[in-house]
Amino acid sequence: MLQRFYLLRELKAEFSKYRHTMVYWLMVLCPFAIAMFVFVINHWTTPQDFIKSISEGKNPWEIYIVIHYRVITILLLPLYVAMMSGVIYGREHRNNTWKHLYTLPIPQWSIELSKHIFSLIILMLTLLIFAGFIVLSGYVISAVNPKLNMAQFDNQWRFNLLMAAKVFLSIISIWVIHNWIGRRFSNIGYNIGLGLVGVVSASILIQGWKYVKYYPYAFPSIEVLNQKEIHTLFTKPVQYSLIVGLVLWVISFWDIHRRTIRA
Amino acid sequence: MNHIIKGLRAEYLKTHQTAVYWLLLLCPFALNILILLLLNEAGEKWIKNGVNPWKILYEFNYGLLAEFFMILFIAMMTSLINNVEHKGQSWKHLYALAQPRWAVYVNKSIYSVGLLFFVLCYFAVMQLVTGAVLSLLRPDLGFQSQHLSLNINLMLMLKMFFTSLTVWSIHHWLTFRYRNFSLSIGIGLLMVVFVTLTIRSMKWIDYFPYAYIKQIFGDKKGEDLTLLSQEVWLGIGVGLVVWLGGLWDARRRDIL
Repeated sequence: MLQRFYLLRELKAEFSKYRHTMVYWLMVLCPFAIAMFVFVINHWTTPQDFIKSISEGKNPWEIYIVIHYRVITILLLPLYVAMMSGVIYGREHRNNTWKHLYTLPIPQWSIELSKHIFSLIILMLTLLIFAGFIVLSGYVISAVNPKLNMAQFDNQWRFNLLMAAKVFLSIISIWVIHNWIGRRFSNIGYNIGLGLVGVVSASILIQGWKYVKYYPYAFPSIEVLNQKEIHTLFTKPVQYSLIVGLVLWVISFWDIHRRTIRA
Repeated sequence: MNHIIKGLRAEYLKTHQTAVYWLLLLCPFALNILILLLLNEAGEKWIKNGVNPWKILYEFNYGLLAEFFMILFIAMMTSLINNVEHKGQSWKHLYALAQPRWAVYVNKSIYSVGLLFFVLCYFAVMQLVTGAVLSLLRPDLGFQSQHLSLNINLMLMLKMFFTSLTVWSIHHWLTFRYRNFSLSIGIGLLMVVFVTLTIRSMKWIDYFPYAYIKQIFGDKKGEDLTLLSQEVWLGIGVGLVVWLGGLWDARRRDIL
């Protein structure tokens, strides 16, 4: 019973540690920037399939939502995860506070776990904020560009949240990898470098490698590009991602547990 | 001149065997391995109708760099090089040394640009190795019987280097000034997304610094490449202006 309180206390400490830091700003600004870019480009180009679907009386929100999630998942999220976990752990590495944390009367698993939970909450909030920005962007574009009047249709917020959940679950394995790297190495460069190679390799291998469906960095892209199963939550990539993520997470927890700390 | 040589040696010592070092060597290597994997698996998709497979290989490799690797790589590399000083809190020490104030910025710039050039050369050479390995693994693709077209490789490499100078000078300035790693990477990331989305829709994007790299292949595929085209001039010119801005800023900088 008591141990549960450790975790809560730790989690509270995490939130106060990162208040007004880069982590919070990234959480709001990255989704905002992506939503802004997609909005601006749709406004400039006024895509024909949108106009066609609106004039035929079909609901254009689904296409609009899927475009947003494709852009953020394929280009931004893996590197965002790398950057986020690098920044979160970087604070402890930079101030050399690992020794201090371990001498506190808190079990070690609680220290690690609270960081993991905090990092996952930030990731989830990022996606939820993004979902909010999509709805906002849809209404703004219907006000600004009369040809793309989407406000008359139902905004399909359920589908929007489903997409967010799909993306979140399929990115879990990437998150576990970067969480581990960020915890192990004080240099944020390893994290970003691996993320970069991961994203680029996924984008190449997805074009023709046989076993790409087992490659962690390709899970989110396969998930959002799969038009057939866009309405189901537990598709193959999500399942693989959860399994791979769980296995790696257990290994990482064990690895961190047996590690000694150097100054 | 003395300051520069001494400074460069110091820069080398500082970054020797750190993350920068390994990333510079391993990132291009990883890309080459990936291309090798892909062409070994499904090379016949792209290499057909008797086109020169070497040309396809070069275009594939440099296309990948131009697509999103280059900008993020530069953002990362400059951050790592400048972060050595931020981490060690050694800016005060550097400015207090018996050398002119400009030397701090100039040394770092020369070292950083040199590394960029070195990485691109290394990448260019590695592609020849990739092709040689492919000629053993997949003789049917015809790497062994075709002309190497080294001039295309060299041309693309040089164009890539010159067009990325602007991005480099922007990120070098940013990371020189600000300690925060995620600022440089974040800006790089957002600009990659922006350019990827806009490159086809707007005319003025041709003049946007982060879009120069994407234009190295010319307007149409198969067209003869010229080295000194618009994006190369823009890359060098704008890069120089931004770099001079950075130099001016570094000279008047206060270290708190």
